[in-house]
Amino acid sequence: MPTDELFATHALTVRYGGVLANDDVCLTAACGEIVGLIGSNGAGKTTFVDAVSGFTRSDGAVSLAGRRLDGEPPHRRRAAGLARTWQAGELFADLTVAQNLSVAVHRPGWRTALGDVFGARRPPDAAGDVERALAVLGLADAAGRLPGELTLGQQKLVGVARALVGGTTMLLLDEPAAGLDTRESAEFGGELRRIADTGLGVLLIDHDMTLVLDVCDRVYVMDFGAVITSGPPERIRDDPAVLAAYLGSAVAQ
Amino acid sequence: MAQFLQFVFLGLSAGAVYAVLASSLVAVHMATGVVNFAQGSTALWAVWTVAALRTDGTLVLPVGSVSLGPEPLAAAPSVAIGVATAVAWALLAHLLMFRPLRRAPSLAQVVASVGLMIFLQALVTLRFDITISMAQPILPASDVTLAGAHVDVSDLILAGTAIVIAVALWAYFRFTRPGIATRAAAEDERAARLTGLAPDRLAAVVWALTGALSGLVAVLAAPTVGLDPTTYTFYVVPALAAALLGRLVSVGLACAAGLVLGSFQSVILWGSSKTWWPGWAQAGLGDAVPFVVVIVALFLLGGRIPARGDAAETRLPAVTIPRPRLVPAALLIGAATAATLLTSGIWRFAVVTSAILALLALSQVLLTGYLGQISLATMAFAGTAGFALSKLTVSAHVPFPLSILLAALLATALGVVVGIPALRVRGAQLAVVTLAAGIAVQSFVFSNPALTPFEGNRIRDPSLFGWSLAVRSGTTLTTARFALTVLVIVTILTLAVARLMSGRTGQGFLAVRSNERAAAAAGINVAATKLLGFGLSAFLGGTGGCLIGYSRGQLSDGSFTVLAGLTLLAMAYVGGITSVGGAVVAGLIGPLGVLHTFLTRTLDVGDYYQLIAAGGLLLTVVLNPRGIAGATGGQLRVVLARYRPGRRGRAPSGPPPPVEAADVATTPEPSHAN
Amino acid sequence: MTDQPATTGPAATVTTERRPALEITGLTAGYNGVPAVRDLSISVAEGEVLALLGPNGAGKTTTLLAAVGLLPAMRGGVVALGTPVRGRRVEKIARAGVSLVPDNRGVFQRLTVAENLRLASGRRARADLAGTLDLFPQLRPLLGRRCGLLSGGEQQMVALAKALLPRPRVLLIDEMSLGLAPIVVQGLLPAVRSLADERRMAVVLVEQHLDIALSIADRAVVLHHGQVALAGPAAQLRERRDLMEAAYFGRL
Repeated sequence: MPTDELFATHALTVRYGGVLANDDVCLTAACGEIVGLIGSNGAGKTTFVDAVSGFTRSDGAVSLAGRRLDGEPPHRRRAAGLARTWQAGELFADLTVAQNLSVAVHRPGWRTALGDVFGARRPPDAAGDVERALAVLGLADAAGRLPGELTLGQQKLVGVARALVGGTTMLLLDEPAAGLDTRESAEFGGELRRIADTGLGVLLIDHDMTLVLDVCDRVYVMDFGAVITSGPPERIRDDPAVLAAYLGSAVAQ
Repeated sequence: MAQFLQFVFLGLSAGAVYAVLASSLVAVHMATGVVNFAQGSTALWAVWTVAALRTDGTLVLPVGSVSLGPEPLAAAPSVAIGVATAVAWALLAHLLMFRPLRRAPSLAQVVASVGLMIFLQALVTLRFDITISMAQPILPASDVTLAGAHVDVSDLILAGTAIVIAVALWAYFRFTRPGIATRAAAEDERAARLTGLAPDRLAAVVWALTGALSGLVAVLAAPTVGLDPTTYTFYVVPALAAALLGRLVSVGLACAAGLVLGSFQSVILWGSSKTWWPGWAQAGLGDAVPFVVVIVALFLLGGRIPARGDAAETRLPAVTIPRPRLVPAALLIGAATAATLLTSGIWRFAVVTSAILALLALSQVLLTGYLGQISLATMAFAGTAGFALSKLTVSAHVPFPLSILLAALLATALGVVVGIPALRVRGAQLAVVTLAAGIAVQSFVFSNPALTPFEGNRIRDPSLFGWSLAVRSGTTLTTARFALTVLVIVTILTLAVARLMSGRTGQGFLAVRSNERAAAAAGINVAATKLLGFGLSAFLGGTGGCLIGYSRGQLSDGSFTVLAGLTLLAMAYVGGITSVGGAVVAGLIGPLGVLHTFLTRTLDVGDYYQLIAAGGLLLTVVLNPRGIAGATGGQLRVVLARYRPGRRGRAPSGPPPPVEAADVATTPEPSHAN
Repeated sequence: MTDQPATTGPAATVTTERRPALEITGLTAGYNGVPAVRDLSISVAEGEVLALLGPNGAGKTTTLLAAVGLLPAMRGGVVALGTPVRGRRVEKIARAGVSLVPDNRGVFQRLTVAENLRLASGRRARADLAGTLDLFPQLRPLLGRRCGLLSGGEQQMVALAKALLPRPRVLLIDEMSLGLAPIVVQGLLPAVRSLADERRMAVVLVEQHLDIALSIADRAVVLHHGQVALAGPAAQLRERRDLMEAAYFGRL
């Protein structure tokens, strides 16, 4: 297992009213490591991603490559290299697949605006970055299409591709495989491995246990907002506490 | 002190109208999620119906009229009929517009209600004999003395009526089953339907109820506050401010805020007559107050105004991303140049005006169509630049074209300031903020004698390298030089905007428009992007305002009215709010543009222009949300694609398919936010 | 899919002698043209409790939404209480006797408990309200309280009471256990079971927690990727945990 720590949360806590949605969560990921986060519906997994990416107010520390990101707004965390995907894809409906990616590389601002009006149409580096990301996820043919013309599974992959471009070092994936069938899901696992092998850290949330247990280096299990156990997938697979959290207590008794 | 009190009570009649309109706005928003900018306009129709009935017993209908006898009708039956007409308008609005649009994006709903507001205002002006200036009294005309102040009994009765109405509305929502059901549907429409409730029917009840109440109070108040159609139409602005103070959920707060606002404006009027009152604030401050109230309601009170819990929102009108296409652009520029050179007099002026309006519409397309921010303040940006231009050219002798640049930059600064609320609110609420801002600027800057001389703001004619570019020369109404100058400026800016929109900035804007949190997750600074959009839009609007200034030679407060701004938004929407082509169409059909001149000069139906414009808007928003340019562009591309089968490119995406009934759930399978 | 002792596949409808209250036949439904359930056939008889199980994204909620008319079927259809659901308004279907407790519970947070129940009971007699409150006596002292202030378990009681008040003949419950401690859910379900028996009400329980659902169900269907992965009598499936886990994790 790689040892250089890339991403870490310390004592991350989220409260919704009186409910502890995330309770003191400590989680780390190293460069090139795929970390799984599993748990039943409502366990607090998406809340964790929301908190880490800055979309939900939280207490505790979030750091990436030694830099503290808690307190930063979402777009700064993204610019720092922390990218996330969404359960529902959340693509930009009016932009083509390629544009969905390039907008994450060339973000609007007054300098970009001046460049649009007076400058060259498009700097050369953008196209390469976008094309690479689409190719990695097998979306090269879809580059010119609108999100609405794709299947839900493909849309989610576009979301993953979008999270890959623009200087990402740590990838947070919230159920990226939910729209995929079994074969596509396995393929996605392979793609994820290749992505991680380029040195990115990956946090994978998914309900497809086959995918999570096959592809992850380590797995965290969450129940009622707290991490109840973590370890290598082979140990998690047989942990009775995990089955209890996941399927309901009686099954595991 | 007695005098002060007297003014406090004097403001109660206007306050009562604000209060009831505000309570109604709250109720309609609860029942439908619509912020109804036309709430004052339906009441306006009732006011005039009563006025006509009591003048000569004629019941005026939208088409034709019925005489109810040779004599003027008595007060009571007149009021009853007047209130009934307001109910009829409200129900029609519900059935024909807001019900079909109940799943539409808030832009469509705002545009629809603004369209209805302009439509009714125009219809009243056309249908009724608006030379009647005084409504006949309904309430007793006696007065009483309270703490030394002489107070009209009618003002007290009106305030009492407003309070009774608010209490009644409150009781309806609190104690009756349909009222409770309406609140339930406001919170979670899907759950309400699963409970067996029919939100549409509940909404119809509220539309009828609020139509009646707004009509009633307006009719009762008319003898005190007058009959002016524009005034009544814009009573909705202070009412919106009061409704926002009630956070669009509290009828009681909205009513109280409305009454206080009325009194406060009256007290300001009293104050401004005093010697100690500052000279710069002698006029317009009362109209600026609602804007301040809106800002306070949205910012200082904190917390978001709860949105209606609708199941899903449909997409905004699809976007036509401009592609740098040489031939159509060259054809258009050629045609415009030819039109300028071949015409003269009023027609050339019409071409010039159309070009300027196209630029203003483009500013709306950029901000509203591309960035998704509903702004009703475009004319305020234009006006600010226009008035700055006057000061710059007359007092500071700044030469053309630097004068335009500086004035437009000032408008840009104002645009950024008006854009700040957009960081907190969106949709209809943003429309309210920008409308209030527009009214405040109009009254406080353009109509303020301290800032605007009574005879208007003169603007020095432009010249470049010793060449006069003046709009008038001798008997020539519009010189070719000036017309070509306008065309050059508009062309350059349009091309620049087309490059922006097809470039990375346009993509970024569309990303923000379609999904703010995903945009933030993609690393886009959403706040900065919105401010950039407001700034750019205001720059375009400001340039347009300067060109209007140069084309008129002088500006008055009538040059940039809020109503003109609303008509412009309507035109931009009719043309196609999401495309450059739409802006061009908007320019052609805009006020004083080519179509307007055609209607006035050739067909002699200019009086109907505003009505036709608003009617066209209503039809567009319900039937064809992509506008004329979008629809014809789409058809054109279908035809072209047929003849060029080998060419690759984006398939012509037609207008978004109509959402099927109410039964479509577009939320994906369990996306439980943990 | 290999050998399975329990019946599987789309044709796995267990025939019963009782009349079907809800019949789903060859249903394909989904979002934005992408099916989330494919060619699904399930039938639930009067008085029967069916557990609809499976991992997240398997198509359970989609099935329920299609059953109450909130989601139009792409192919196939649903017949509820003898009438096809297609083309009817959601509120009509609800008034005809099909109650859904959605996964967000469908309780109006800004209304009081009493107001919530008043909306649900319609013009029906107060006797029903009293009878329903007998099922959930803990709600009596809370009648005047706004639902947003209640605990998750209390809200779930309101949701159930709300769904039961109009005396539905088909009751669909989506993820009752979401965010609740198992003990709370175990306190609520026996009431559902006994009502199914007394009123001959058909019940579909969508659940992630297997044991809770299986403890009161007559039959169970496990969905995976929008299709039936496993189906059979609840008692039989309780004994075959290995199969259940395999179906859940997509290893069948």
